[in-house]
Amino acid sequence: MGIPLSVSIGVTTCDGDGGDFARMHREAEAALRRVRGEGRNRIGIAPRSAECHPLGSAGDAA
Amino acid sequence: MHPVSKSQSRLGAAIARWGVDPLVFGLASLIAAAILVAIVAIPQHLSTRARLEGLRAHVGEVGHIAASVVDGDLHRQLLDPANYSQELYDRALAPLVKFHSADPDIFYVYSMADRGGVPYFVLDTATSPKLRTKHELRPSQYMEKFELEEDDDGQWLRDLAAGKEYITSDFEEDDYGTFLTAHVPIYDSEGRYSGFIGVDFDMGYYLAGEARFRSIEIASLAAALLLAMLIGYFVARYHATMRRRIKELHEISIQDSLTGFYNRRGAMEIIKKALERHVGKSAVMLVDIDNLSTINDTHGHVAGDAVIARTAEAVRRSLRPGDQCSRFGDEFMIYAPDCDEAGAKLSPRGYSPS
Repeated sequence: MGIPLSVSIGVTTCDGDGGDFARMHREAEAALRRVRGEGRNRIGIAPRSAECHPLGSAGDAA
Repeated sequence: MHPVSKSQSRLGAAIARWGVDPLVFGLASLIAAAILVAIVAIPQHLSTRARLEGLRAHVGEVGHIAASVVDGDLHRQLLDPANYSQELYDRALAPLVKFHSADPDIFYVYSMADRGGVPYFVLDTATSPKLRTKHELRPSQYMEKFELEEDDDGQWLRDLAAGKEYITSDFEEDDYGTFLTAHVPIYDSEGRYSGFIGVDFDMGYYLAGEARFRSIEIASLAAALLLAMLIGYFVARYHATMRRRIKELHEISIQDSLTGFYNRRGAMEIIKKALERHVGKSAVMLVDIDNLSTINDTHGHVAGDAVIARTAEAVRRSLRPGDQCSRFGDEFMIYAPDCDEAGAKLSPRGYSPS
């Protein structure tokens, strides 16, 4: 249709069974807001939280 | 499986083939059957009791007539065995024999004396060769003792002495058939209690009539049960239709009509449940269409909707079995069970809807 389109994506993951809908939605939304602030057409990964990643270290893979 | 359980499950499967829930069908049929059977059976029972009461009243009348034909003075003389003579006995018996011969539905007509709470036969029409009857009777002899049942407290004898009639409350069975008995006091010319008359009334014709009523009762009950099953079927059909409609309405209420994905409400319900059930790695992705509001403003909402639909197709192609996706506004939310960070980075490839 001649309209340039792109999407921005916010992602959060959870390693264990601590998956909580509200929290994961919040984290994904925060990651999305961050990448939209940095520009469009990119993927933002939410920092690894202690609840969801008890063995992993915190970090941002954006 | 137990044979009964097996046949029950077969029955359940047969009912389920009608498109209804066997449990709802069973419960509705049971309730309808209880109501309908009560509506049919209670009046039938009351009617049967009323017919029996009518008959008891009739037998009581027959007993009163029999008592009225007995000469109370002669009967009083016979209460004392010292006064007995065949001639006296025959004179006292003669009107009862005429009375008995006139009614073929009577088994026995007799009179009794109450001697210290024990009844003794006085007169018995079966002893007379002049009696015309269709029944074969065993005559009781003068002053033959009548053995009371063990559970008989003799209250009926006291009631008779007090001037009350006594009619058995229900049928009695004996070698010679089924009968109702009426006992009515006999009084002499001075109004003194002088024994009592007994009439055993043949219930054969009544029972034949009741058998006809019974076939009507059975047919009515069968019809009530069939009607109950029909009601049960329609209730179960209605229930199944309502459940299906509610499910359809629920599906509509949680679905986004533009993309076919869940809406926000659906996402809350389905993804929340999936997250609660899932154990292990999982990812949630929010896919936002860049500049959708600009597209809407520049090209109109029809173009904006087309962009959303195209993006939805691209997202749908990337979903794995078990992934759940919802759309609210210009965002798609994907829940991906068994997906780690690396997988989550890979999955959006090809999302470019243009």
